[in-house]
Amino acid sequence: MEVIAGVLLVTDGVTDAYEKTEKMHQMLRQILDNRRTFGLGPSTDVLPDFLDRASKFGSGDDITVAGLVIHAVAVPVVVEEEVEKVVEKVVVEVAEKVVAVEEEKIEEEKTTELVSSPSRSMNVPYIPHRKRIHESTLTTLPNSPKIPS
Amino acid sequence: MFSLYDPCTLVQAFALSRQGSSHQRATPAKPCQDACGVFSGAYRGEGAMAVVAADGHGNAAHDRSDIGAQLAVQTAGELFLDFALRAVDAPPAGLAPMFRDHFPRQVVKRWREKVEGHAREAAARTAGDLAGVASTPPEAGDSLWRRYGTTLLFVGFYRQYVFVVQLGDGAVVVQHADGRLDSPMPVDPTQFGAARSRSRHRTRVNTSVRRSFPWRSSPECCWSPTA
Repeated sequence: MEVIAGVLLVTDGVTDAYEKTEKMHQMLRQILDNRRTFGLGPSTDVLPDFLDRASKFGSGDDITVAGLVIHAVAVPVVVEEEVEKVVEKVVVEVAEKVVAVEEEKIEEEKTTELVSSPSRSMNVPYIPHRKRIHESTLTTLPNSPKIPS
Repeated sequence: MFSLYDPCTLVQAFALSRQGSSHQRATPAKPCQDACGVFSGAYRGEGAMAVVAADGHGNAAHDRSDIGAQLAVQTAGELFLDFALRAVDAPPAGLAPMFRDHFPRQVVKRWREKVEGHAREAAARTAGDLAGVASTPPEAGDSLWRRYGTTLLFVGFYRQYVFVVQLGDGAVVVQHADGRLDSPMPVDPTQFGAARSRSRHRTRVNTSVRRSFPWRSSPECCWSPTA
């Protein structure tokens, strides 16, 4: 018996939107990869927009995508070269911005520290780098299947 | 949108239906005739999860297909959890035949009952006599089921097996362990409720199922956080 890693169910709104099955599989693969990489929350946020675009530019019919992802089975995540480059660029840009903001805040804290109480130096705000990078990348590139960890 | 993650089985389930752009533009706007749902349960530590999607036929002859699709989703989800409960002591080799022999037939039977119940209630509501729902005679079978006609796509996960059922069009796409995707279900235009496409002329409700079969999932699916 065969080992499988996931099953997707799609109505004809999806199948009719693609002339070639390979193209449809490519889109579905992105959905699966997004769910594996980002988990429930972020991939759920981008899916409605993903499907609306498929309906608008495809069949115009109602559209449903549903499925099971079995996380116990490790699946190689496919990333197209171009997409990977764009993702890398965005990640670097966002990381630079985060670092700049962090440095700015530290500078600000130092200045405030000199002016007010020294105990304020303990209150440097925590900036969740990974979270900010993921959210930003997902917003700008909903189809990107992988963010380098 | 339905999303669920079971940390015991490491299975994530999700389902989302969106109204089509042509349905939004129609005057008056057509409802979304697709329906979907996620169902889960646990029996003696074995998680069961089901994901169902249905596509109501959507033309004038199937004027209640949006409701038919919702009833199909609800029926299949509930029955799979019933199946899991009954199969909790079944030997692994007996799961597949048990599912194949009973589940699809039960889904069709229960769906018809729900459709008749809905039709009775709708007739009573129209007549302004909700108290007389039980005594309202149902419409004739074939023509009634045709009004609620829908497809059905189902996948269930239980005891490391994946069960798939498809009635009508749409597609079931399987991802293999190497990442490859394919659509293993054979082409068959039969529908749930009433037929369209190649078998449009038929009036008999077709209860056949394209195929239902189990795949073994990874043995690691038995992993649990307490192990």
